[in-house]
This record gives sequence, structure tokens and C-alpha cells, in this order.
Amino acid sequence: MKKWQWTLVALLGIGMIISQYMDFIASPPEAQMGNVVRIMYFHVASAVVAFTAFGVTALLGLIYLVRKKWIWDQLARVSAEIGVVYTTFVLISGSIWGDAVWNTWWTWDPTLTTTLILWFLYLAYILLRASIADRERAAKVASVYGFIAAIDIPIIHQSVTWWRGIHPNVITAQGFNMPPIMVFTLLFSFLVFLGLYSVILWISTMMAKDRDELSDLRELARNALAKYDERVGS
Amino acid sequence: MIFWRVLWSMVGKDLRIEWRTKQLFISSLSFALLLVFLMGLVLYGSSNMTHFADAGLLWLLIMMAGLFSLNRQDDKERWDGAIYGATMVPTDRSVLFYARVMSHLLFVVVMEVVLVPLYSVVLGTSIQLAWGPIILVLLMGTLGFVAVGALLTSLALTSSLREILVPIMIFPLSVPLLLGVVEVTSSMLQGNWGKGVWWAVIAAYDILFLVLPGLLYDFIAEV
Repeated sequence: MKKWQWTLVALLGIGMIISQYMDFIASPPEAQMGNVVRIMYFHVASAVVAFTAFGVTALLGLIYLVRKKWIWDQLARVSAEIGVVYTTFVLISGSIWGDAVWNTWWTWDPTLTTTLILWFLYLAYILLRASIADRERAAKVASVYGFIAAIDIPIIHQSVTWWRGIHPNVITAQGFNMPPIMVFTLLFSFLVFLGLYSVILWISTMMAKDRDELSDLRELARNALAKYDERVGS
Repeated sequence: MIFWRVLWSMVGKDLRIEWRTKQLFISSLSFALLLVFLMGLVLYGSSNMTHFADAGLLWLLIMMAGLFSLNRQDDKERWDGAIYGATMVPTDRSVLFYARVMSHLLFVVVMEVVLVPLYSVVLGTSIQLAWGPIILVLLMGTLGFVAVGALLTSLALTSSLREILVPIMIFPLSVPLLLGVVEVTSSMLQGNWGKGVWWAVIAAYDILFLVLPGLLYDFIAEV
């Protein structure tokens, strides 16, 4: 890594520490929820990262289909993986918050349902990629799947909303008016989380590049060895 | 039109193979019948099931049976590299997709002819509406499901996890369709047509998954 890249990562680290301070100490507890509100800074920021990551996957997949450049596909792949990890965070932290505030670990609220489906959709994306040996084929197939999944998400969300609209709604989302310090803390955690996402995305893509180069070299060495054996006649 | 000729010859090929062996049809149908029997068994007569649960079970059953046939039919194309030959069609490759959708549709519809009446008998569900609307929703729901299924089986064609991956992909993707057909069917069990919005969801889903794969199929047809 170059020096300016190290600097950026170091800045991000400092930002994350500040963010922790703000989440746990600087921001006040909420009037009704008390300290439970602090989960929000992780939960909502994770959700922002997850949605961004899946959006990036769909977009870069499409670019890959047009341009056929390796880098777009790799970025799309890594982004989907990060997205699944953060969706897991969203579901777990949301569940904990739900238990404290709604008094239930899970409810068929449209947003919750959509998020869970999203998690399944991109878990399948990872499995699909991992189970196809041919690299180029995997890239094409995954790009098509990622794009279709992304188009389906608004339809899923809409249909799930209508579905809940017909059945009794036990829990309604409660809006809270947040003081400026809480809004600032939330926005700051978005910034830090997205920064972390970018760093992971970038490092993982570089790692993938090395991995692919290594496997190409292995292939080359294997072929060369086979050719040598043939010539020697063993 | 060469497109239509290729389409019909491909669908004809599928039907001919099936007609001669009857392998797929008999295995899928026995599986589905077994499922109906098991549902009847564990629910012990469904006198206190809600209409929604009733319709939901029926559609899950249809989708399971359809899934089974999607996987089995797909196997056939991998034998002797048949799929490589098929990619040499003298027209747009999306014809492969539409041919698949057609033959899956015919196949699943024929199964439904046996399944749906049997389901209503075994689980004691009486349908309060004329058969016309029921047939319409069965056709539309099946079309959407086999369309997304045909696309996903081609995506997973070279995957080593193919058999398990197709269900993992297909069910989350078809949530809107599933909700739509279950809502409409449960209304029909109570004697009305169901909300217009759900018909719109089903129709939109059908159109989306008939048009979009046609456009994208060229990328995945080459194996």
C-alpha cells in the first residue's frame, strides 16, 4: 500500500474511535428507549452499507456485462459479500433492538421481511459464484443474477407492504424526533461505516487480484511441467 | 419466421422425449401426490385451516412439484452435451429460454390438472368460485414461476451446487408472485375475485420475467 492510502486508513481508524465515543458517551439516551437507542447507530449505518453494497453489485455487474473488464466483476463480487455480512448485522442488531423496544425478536413488518429476503437473495449470489469453476462463466452468471435480484427488490418490498396492509398490524413504527447531537452521531456513523466498506472493498479486490494471478501462474506451471514430461518421455 | 419454427421444434422435442419415456412426469407426479398425502396426514383434515393457509399450502405444493421438474428436465440437457448443440440455433438465443418456459409450463399445468382437484378432495377445501378464474390464476402463477425457474436453471447450469442452489434462488425471487397468487387464491376460496392490486402484481411479475431474461439470455447461453 502507498503512503497516502495508509494515511486514509489511519484517518478512518481515528474516525471510528470518535464514532464509538459519540455512540456510547457523547450522545444522550433517548427519552423512552433509554440506552437501547444506541443500537440505532450500528443498525442504521449497517443498513446503509448493505444497501449501498448491493446497489454497487448490481451496477458494476451491468458494467461488467457491457465492458467485460475483470475489475468490475471482482468489485461487484466483493461488494455483495460485504453486503451479506452487513445485512446479517442489520438483522441481528434489529432483532436485539426489537426485543427491547417492541418486546418481540421478530415481526413481519415490511422492512424486516424485505431485509430478510435480501439476505437470502445475496447469500444465493455468493453460493452461485463459489460453485462455478469457470471464472468467466461465474462472472457473467453472477452479473445477470445480481441485476435481476436488484430489479426484483422494489417489487418484493411493495408486495410485502401490501401483504401486511391487509393483515392486522401489531406493531407500528414509532417515529422519534431526534436532537441534533443524535442526528450528527448517526450521520457520522454512516460516514465511518461507508469508509470501512470502501477499505474492505478495495483490499479484498486487491487480494482477489493476487489470488487469480497466482492461480493463473499455477496453471502455467502445470502446463509447462506437462510439456516437459512429454518431451523427456517419462 | 425462423424464431417460431425453432421454438416449436424445441418444445416438440421436449414433449416427444417426455411422451416416449414418461419418466419425468411419473416421478414428479408421484412426488407431488406423496406431498398431498403427507399434508393431509399431518394436518389431519383441514377443517380449521384459514383460507390463506389453504391457498398457501396449495401454491407451495405446486412450486415444489414444479421445482422438481425444473431440476430433472435440466439434467436431460446436460447429457451428451446437448446444450452445446442447442446454442447453435440459427436465430436469437433467447429462443432457448422461451422454449424452456413453454415446455415447463405445459408440464406443470398437466400436473396441476391432477394435483389441484386431488388437493381439494384430500384437504376438504371447497372452491366457492367458478373454475374459470381459478384456471386463470393457476396459469398466470405457473407461468411466472416457470419463467423465473427457466432463467435460474440456466444460470446454475454449470454450478456444482445446482440442485440445491435453484430452490435457494427461486423462492426469495418469487416472493411477490407467491404472495400475489396466494392472496388471489384465498379470496377465490371465499367466493370473490380478489383484490385488483394482486392481479397487477402477478401480471407485472409475469411480464418482467418473460421480457428481462429474453434480453439478458445471450450473456448466459454460451456455456
